[in-house]
Amino acid sequence: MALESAADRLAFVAPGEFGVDATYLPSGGGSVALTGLFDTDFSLVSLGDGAPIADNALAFTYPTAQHATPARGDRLSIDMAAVPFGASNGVLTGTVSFHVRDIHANPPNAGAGFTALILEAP
Amino acid sequence: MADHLCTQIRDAVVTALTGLSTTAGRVYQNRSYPLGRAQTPGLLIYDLSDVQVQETVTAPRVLTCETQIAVIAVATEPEGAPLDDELDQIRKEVTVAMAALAATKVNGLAHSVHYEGCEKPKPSSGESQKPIGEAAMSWVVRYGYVEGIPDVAA
Repeated sequence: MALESAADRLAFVAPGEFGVDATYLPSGGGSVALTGLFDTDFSLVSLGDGAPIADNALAFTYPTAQHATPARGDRLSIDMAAVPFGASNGVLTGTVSFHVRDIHANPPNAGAGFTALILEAP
Repeated sequence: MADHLCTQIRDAVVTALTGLSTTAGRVYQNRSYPLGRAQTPGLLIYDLSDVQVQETVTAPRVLTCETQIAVIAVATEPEGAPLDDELDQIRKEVTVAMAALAATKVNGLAHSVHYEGCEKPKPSSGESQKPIGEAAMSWVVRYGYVEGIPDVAA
């Protein structure tokens, strides 16, 4: 179900509740302030015949209206101390400058009007 | 009674590969549970098969077997360096250590040791904080024992 308005979307990612402020850093220079949800979903990586590797898939979901033209190779800077509920799992600390590796428009878990950045830790 | 020769050979491989420059003490034997990021770069060691390839005719028969030892290097991409380079560095260290072990015929337990090769599955992407890669190397260790006495090399 799509959210109805930009204000609804902002409430969904409000800092101090579920959201966190971040700074988007295009590779060409400049910056864009974003507010969104930082997720560290548990993942098991199995490549070959050996034991799998337990890790986390990193993503940042924000209202698309804040920045409609993200690009792979850009960076996203987040202060891990501001991430609610310890979502950084204690592995990532301080201010981390993530690589943007992929971009999902309208991710299914967030409805229309959101963009999810698939992140890679430095 | 000592351990089965397979166990002795596997233990010797673990000992030879523990303390290498890149993987240090992160060496795991026949592990099935997941590794954490703190356990990489590391080595997973498995004995995948043990096949009898020859035997003498008269009793007591001497059985000759080949056991396949897999050494899987697991690494996450270092900042500013290619993942392939990290995996190749581990391969180099492992290969040198295994050659030294082969020169001793696994401390006298084996007839011969030979390298079979290496497979490198496509690294992870998207489902991990950083790309994770593996290099799966394997060796075949030929050894023998008198039938019924699998803990003494012959």
